[in-house]
Amino acid sequence: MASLRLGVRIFISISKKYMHSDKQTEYLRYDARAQSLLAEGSSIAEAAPDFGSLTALPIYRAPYNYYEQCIKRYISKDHDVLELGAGTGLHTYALVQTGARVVASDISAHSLDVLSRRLNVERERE
Amino acid sequence: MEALPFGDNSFDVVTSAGSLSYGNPDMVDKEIKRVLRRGGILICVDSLNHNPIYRFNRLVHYLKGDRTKSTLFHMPTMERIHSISKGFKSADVRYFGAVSYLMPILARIIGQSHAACVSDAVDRLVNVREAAFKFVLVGNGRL
Repeated sequence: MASLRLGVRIFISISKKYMHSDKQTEYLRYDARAQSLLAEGSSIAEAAPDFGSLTALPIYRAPYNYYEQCIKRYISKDHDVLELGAGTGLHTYALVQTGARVVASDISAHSLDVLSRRLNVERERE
Repeated sequence: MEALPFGDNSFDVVTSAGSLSYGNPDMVDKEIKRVLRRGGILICVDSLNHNPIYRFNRLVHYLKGDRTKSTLFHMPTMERIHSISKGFKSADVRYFGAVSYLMPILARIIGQSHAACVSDAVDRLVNVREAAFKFVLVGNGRL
């Protein structure tokens, strides 16, 4: 897990300028969802083995499988990687496994709190 | 996503799993190109909205309040995929889920894993592009 701790930096990209009402709605929805996950506490870490394509039902899994294959194929250790809309980190795990330096970004700060707990990383910067 | 707090040319790879519809498409795509280094890679998986069945389903979600109008309007289109692809030396796009809408029912009859096999087989057999539910785009070599 040490490499995770070193490898992942977490940023929050909230740009108030573009917070139109719809975006505000989406932001509040995802942030509230993350807050309720955080309120559940330790269960987040226990849910950690389920990531990425495994969280999708088998009937919807194919595109996510392929996405993860591509991540393995194209990303190497010396890469700087930015994940857009990382959310609670469902798809961040596959990135971290490549050994690359990953920056997870999301509009919702609480989602990134869930992400850092899931992946067991410290939040480096905001 | 329309104003990423990162400098120009600061990443080798940008990834997105289902977040492309949460911002103004032109601005988001411009930002992705800006933060990517020359020769950089974009890997993304997202939904398409040209299949009327999926479109209808999303409209229902919108009416139920699970989804905002913006995300419907900003759902990636074939035009957007082409325009993103043009920004890279090579682009590989794969389409998935031509019959995903039938799968919940089929899964109930023959089980999840068998239904998944059927769904994947259909995608392999036919050109699902125009009917697709999801796509994966790999843009290799930012120009």
